[in-house]
Amino acid sequence: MEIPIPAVKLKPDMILKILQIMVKHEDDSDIMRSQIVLSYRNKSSRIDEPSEKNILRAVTFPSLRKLGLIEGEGKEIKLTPNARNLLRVYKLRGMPGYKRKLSKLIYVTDKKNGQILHTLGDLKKKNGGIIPKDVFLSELKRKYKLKTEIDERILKDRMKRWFLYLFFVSFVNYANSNIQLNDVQVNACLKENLIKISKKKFVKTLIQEYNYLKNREKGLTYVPIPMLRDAVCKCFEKEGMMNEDFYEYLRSIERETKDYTILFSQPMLREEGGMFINERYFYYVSIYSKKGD
Amino acid sequence: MVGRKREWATLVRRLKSAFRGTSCKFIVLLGAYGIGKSFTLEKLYSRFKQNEIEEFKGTLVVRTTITGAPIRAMDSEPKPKFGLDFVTRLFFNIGLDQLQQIAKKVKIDDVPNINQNIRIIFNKLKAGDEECFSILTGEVASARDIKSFGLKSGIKDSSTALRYLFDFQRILKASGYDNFLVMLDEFEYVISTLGEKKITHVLNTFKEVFDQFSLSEGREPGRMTKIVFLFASSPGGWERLIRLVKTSEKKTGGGGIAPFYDRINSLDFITLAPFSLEDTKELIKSRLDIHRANKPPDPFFPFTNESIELIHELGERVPRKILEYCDILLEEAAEQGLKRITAMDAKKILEKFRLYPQKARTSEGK
Repeated sequence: MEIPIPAVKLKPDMILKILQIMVKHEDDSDIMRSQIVLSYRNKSSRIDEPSEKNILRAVTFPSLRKLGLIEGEGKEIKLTPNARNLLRVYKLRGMPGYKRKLSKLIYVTDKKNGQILHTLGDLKKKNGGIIPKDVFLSELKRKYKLKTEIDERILKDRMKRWFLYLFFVSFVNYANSNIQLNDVQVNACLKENLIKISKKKFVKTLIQEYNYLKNREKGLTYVPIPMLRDAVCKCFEKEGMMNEDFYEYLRSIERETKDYTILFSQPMLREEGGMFINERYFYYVSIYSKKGD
Repeated sequence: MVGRKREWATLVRRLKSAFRGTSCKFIVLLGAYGIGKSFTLEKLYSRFKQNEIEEFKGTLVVRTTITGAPIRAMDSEPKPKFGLDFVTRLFFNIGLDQLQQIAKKVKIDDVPNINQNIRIIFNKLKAGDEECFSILTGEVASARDIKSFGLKSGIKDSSTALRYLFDFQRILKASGYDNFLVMLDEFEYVISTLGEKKITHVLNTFKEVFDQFSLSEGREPGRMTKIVFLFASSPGGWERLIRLVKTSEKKTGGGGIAPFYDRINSLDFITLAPFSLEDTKELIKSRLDIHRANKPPDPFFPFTNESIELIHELGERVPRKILEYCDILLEEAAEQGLKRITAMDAKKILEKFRLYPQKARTSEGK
């Protein structure tokens, strides 16, 4: 049975360091990898050193990918706007700012995978503010329709790891065997991370960046959505636009106006970084101007 | 052709330019799934056959034998020798009748610098011998059969196949054809289903054809018919090609797939845009007209303006989806005895088929 809680094996306090390594050695995949392995081993409390394969392919990259911080495979792995945003915020506002930004990422990841915060919220209302751990576990088992012992073991393992993240950004606390959900923290995170960009400005930037990208190769009209996303997020770096903000804006704008038409197209094979619209997955975008035609 | 005035004009312009030019051409027609690439190629083919455009006269166009559609770039089971497969398919799709007509226009023995085997084959075609057509299409392979035709060998590998093609271009020129248009649909399957080595081999085959003409023109101008390739591809396929070009440039410093790509002029890309609302209306009207016995005062009947707007929105401005939704709505409306299909009716019917998404933004709200 599928358990939708994110399988993130990397501890949250290691994310920042790893992102810093990745951005420093962006152009050299081999050095980047060796530095990640070194950093991980320095922090690891295991007696037997974890292997490079385990560190990179089992722990680090899958976790970062799940959080929307990296995309691509092998030597093509690169940081997403989410990752760059986190690094930028850390540089400007230190750990408090970084954690606030990370909290939004964790909120969004949770919403897309498992909705633990939502479940905790429901239970909090039902149980008068207290959420016993066993009640929470039972609720998850019921929600995910888990029946076997193996499923339960996987659930507990995933929960334990995911709770490290929720705890790291103060979404939850523990009090004896009870879980405390910090609604105030969750709401503050959403409020703080609202970006203030008008749709008009977004559309203008979108078209500007699209026109630039489509001219990068002859005959191109279709631009990969993640490529356009990275370019637009870079333009709105100061405002702190993240991946999800970009997708939300893109979904919300008019597909056809008197000035342009936007067409989303599906990929041949499933590719990372696209987006779902009405349950269909799109990877390319093309924008057709109606002016001066 | 509904809604494609600009793209059609560009396509015709690029083809005219290609036919007037002095080198082979690669022209690329790009568009998302369902946007009308195959339909455009069909229309182009029929315009050629009907000689509707002056500058298209004197051009041989390849077609399949069943539907008249352009040939697919990729068969469902790719053959191991692409050049051999490609050339034999070309001959198959030109067809026996057309090849005989071409042969009859030419004194085959007077065409210089062609292979003796092809001379024999075309003389036989000219004389009405139909069986040697199977040599050109690769259906005859045994040494005994080949010998029975008086030939030394058949087309057994890509290299031989390409030589046959080049010699055919000479015969074609002698018969009065200046240009040979080869339309290749679903080109993305070549890019997406094969590994890099195979893709390089396929594209280099096209490049070789391209270059052979230039070489021949340099040595003996006016002796070969020029081939113009028109590739139709999805954006995904083309994007993958570009990525492979970049990778191969890094690996080889300019070899691999890059030489094929470099031979495509920036002007020779035509992209099919999504439909405007007017295009959608025109498409729906033209399809309804085909099936009507009598024309009602409202050309869009039984649809309303609002239901058309809804179809346009939900169909994402893509002709195939627009027509699919229209078909469903017309059938269901007939079943339900609806006299008109309003936006509300359309929504209910499409919901029944789970084609109306929960969070769809529709024209209803406007």
